[in-house]
Amino acid sequence: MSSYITSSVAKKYIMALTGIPLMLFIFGHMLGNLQIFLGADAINNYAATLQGLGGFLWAIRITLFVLFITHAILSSILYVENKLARPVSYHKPATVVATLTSRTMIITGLIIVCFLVFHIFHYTVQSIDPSFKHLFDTQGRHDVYTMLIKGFSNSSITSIYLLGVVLLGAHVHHAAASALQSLGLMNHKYAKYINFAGPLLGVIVAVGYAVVPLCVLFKVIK
Amino acid sequence: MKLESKIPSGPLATKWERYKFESKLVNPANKRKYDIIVVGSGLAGASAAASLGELGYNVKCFCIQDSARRAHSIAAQGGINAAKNYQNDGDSVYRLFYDTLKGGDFRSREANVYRLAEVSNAIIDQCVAQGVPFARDYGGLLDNRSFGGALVSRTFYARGQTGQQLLLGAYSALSRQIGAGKVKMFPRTEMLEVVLVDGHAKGIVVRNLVTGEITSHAAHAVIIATGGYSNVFYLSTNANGCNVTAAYRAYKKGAGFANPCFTQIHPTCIPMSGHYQSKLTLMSESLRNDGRIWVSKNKKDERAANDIPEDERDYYLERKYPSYGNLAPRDISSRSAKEVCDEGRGVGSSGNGVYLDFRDSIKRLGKDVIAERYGNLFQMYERITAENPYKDPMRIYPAPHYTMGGLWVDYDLMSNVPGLFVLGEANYSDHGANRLGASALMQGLADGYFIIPYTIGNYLTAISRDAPTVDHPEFKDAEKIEKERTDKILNINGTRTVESLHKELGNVMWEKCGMARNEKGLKEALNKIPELREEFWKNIKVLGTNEEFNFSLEKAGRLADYLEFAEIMCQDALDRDESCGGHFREEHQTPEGEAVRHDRSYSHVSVWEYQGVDKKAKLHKEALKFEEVKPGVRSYK
Amino acid sequence: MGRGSFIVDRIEIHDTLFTIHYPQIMNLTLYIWRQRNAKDKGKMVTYMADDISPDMSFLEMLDVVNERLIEDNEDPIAFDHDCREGICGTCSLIINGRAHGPEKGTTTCQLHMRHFKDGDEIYIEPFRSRAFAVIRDLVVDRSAFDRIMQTGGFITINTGSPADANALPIPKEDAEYAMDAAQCIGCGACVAQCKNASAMLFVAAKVSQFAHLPQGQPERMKRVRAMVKAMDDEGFGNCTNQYECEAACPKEISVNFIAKMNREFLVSGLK
Repeated sequence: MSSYITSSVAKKYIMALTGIPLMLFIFGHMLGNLQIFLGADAINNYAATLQGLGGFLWAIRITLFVLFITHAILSSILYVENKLARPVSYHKPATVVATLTSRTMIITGLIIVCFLVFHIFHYTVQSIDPSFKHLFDTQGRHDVYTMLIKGFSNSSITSIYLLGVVLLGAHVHHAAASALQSLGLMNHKYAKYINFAGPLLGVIVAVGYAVVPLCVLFKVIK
Repeated sequence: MKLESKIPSGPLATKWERYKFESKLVNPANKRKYDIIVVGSGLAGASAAASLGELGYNVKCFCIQDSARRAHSIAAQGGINAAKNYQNDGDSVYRLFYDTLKGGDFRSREANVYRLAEVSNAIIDQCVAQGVPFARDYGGLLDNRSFGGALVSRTFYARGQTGQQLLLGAYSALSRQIGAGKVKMFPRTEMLEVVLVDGHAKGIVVRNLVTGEITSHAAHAVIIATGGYSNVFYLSTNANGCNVTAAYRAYKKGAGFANPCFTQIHPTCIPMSGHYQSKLTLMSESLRNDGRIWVSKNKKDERAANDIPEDERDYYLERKYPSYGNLAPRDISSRSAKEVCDEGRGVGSSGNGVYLDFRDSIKRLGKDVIAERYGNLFQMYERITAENPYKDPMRIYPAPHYTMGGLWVDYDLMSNVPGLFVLGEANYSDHGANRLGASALMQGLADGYFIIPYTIGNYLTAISRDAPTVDHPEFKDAEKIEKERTDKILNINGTRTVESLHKELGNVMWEKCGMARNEKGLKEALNKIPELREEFWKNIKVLGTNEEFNFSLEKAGRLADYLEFAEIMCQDALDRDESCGGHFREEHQTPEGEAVRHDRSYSHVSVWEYQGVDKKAKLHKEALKFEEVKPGVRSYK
Repeated sequence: MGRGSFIVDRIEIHDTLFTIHYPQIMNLTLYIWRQRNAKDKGKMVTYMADDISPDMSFLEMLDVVNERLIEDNEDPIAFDHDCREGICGTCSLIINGRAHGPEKGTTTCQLHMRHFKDGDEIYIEPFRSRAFAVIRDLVVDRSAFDRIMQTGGFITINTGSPADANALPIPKEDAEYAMDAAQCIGCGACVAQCKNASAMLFVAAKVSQFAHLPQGQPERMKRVRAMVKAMDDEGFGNCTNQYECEAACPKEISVNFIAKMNREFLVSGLK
């Protein structure tokens, strides 16, 4: 069994199996964010519901954390292994079809790690701007709406977010279809649809996440 | 030299059965006490090595390529014959036997050819079981196509890559035996000498092509399956590495070389385009199923092909051979192409080509059907010539392709040197003076899978089981000779490159001993070849050392053998004062230009015995007896 | 006619317009990896290749360069080649960063100089992978592929008398699928082009061929496990689904076979 798990193919499974829940989370998170367009009540209510989950929320958080760490560590191992597989590189390398996003997974991934740390300290732990902790709406719920408006009104913070989410989209751009390929869920019949839908998902993620800070920055949402 | 064909007695159809029954068997427990060397890893070599390994023998297999999978069998395109009669079109073992014998212009042994036809069906079964993806029809059953020289559809194929798929099948069987430890593989290793101990082949001397190291390997028997010698013409459809060296070195050790002048010039190859050309590319004969061959009726017609109206086109094969038409056998098609080109009706800028036209088939079947059948060949043609064969007809011209001649073998496929077996194209046995399309793959696999595993036992049971050793002085002597020879080549430091001298030899052979031969030309060649040989040993230029990967040195060694071998080829062509199959002596033809055989004087195999460099080889004859079939005029009209 | 292969001149003789095609001769600058043996460090060396005909194949162009080198008492450039018709899989070369050069579905030996133009600079390097050691110059050792095959690239059947070939019908689509996979020539371009020097496409093609035929069923699970293990042991990299392999493959073998192998391997783990 150990040789199975450490095989190159099984490592692909692990990357896909850890990546897919993360992508589902990214999607869910994105849909949550977009509730800002439904008004303060909707998003504050959503946030309060999540907080109300209590232990279950922590279970989700810990699961996501484990998946994320596994994904990140394994990708680093794979990166090193792949570099070692070609000890002498080409003098004049060329790329035929590999997309830019597929070739920069390690870079986008590492930046996403940093971005995520920032994001957690910014909106979850709320230590970058401690005033976030004291925002409550009329019903006494944490006023996430105002927090987002406050947070994204700062153009330098918004720039960090824009960079982060675009790279997240870029990561998904390659990851979505790639995960299905790794799990062997592609075949001659469906490959072309999957290879079209996967990258589209990446674009949706980038746009879906970028639209909130942009709208706040440009005062579409006040 | 003793030439005992050892053909079993009895009726033709039961000879092989009877032989198998009467064979002495090696006790399974004793098989692992025998070591066998196989030189070459093409269809014949790989299938033999794999099959013998499966039986339990210890096999060492050698090839010059970097992997056994790269042997030139891989390039065979069209297909493999078998007498399955799946098409219900009247095929049978007997018909395949008859077609092959007739196709060979009655210059092969009845018993061998019959056996070949007999085992042909088992080959298809074997290959399918190995996972060879042959073409199938919609019912899931195997599909067939027609090939030259036959009026039945008996050719099994895997797109245009049949040789590749069959070789990969044999290679996978071989790989299994290597993995199981029964076969030890030596890639990038070239055989230089057969070593005889007390008159028996007991091993070989090889050179490691990466390190230059020369070493010996001993065995109870040696099998040579190293292919043909078409590269004596320099330009041929063979791979660049194909060479006569292993067979020729065996000849120098006393093995008889049979019918060296029987060479096949394939009719459908892409014409030469420049002096730099390194090889000629074959376009599968299967194209003749749907392509029509023609030239203009006018000499020096410079119009574009599609501008030449129907009534000014000469579909010369259909005209001359109405019943076989474009599927006339290879020798006849090639010669007809040469004829029209010699008349000045050739096409293309150099005039060395004829059209192979798919216009009518595309009209009849649609472009898609043609693309499905020949797409990859059309693509290959376009890649090489930058012309589109869907629009303009292909230009084709004959090119050296296969050599029917080879080391003489008896019914056991053993040469006259005891313990030295020869399989596949390297032997002479089954194709007579001309080989039919899709029969080379059949013969290679028949020899390796189904014949040698039986016949080698008869030899092994008759000799001592003692482990062979390289301690005999014969091995040391052979190694020393090879080292000296290599040093000699490296120390000439002349001005002539190997390629340029090979080209010159090729040119002489093509002009004087190619598609048509005559006494005067052959004598000229026989004068010229020793001069070229002298030029080699005085003026060749090979840089580098022996102790490294040195491809110029490899090529030089092979050229040196060609420069000797070419002489027996011309000698044989001169001696065979008749026309038969691929050997066309201009002195012997009908007024219409058909070959005229002289059965009374030449119904024999010419076997040459080495007498020394610069000495005329000694001719021996094995008379061909036809008990079943009376040789007739080979007509395809 | 191929792009750039001919200069076309039009001349008028007696009021008739004639078109003359004559080959254009090219002068090229080559940067070629030279390495005397496995221990040598190796370096790129510049050569001028003048008077090259567009109708030459790439290897014929190198032949011409080599003939000139020998005349100048310089060691010729070693490169692997054999059949020169795109089927044996011996030829290799990374040409301007691309395995087998710029043309799709083409081996180096079938690549013609008409796809280059006068004055071009061409970088020629060996296939690079930890599993493919350089033997000399552009020649590499690809025996890792053979070793992978020896662990499971076969159907266990001894030579003998198997059932009649037509006893087991195989749907045409399945036979065609197997043939698509079986076309692999084992050249190693997939490894050479892959950013990670992964051999997945090579292994997947063999695994898929047999997994799709009834004859391959009994050993199906064992085969994929053994071949993947052998591949990993040889030191090839991992697949990151970038599909450079498919783009470089001279036989255009589809990456869907890799998905197929992933599926096979997954099932083998569940059994």
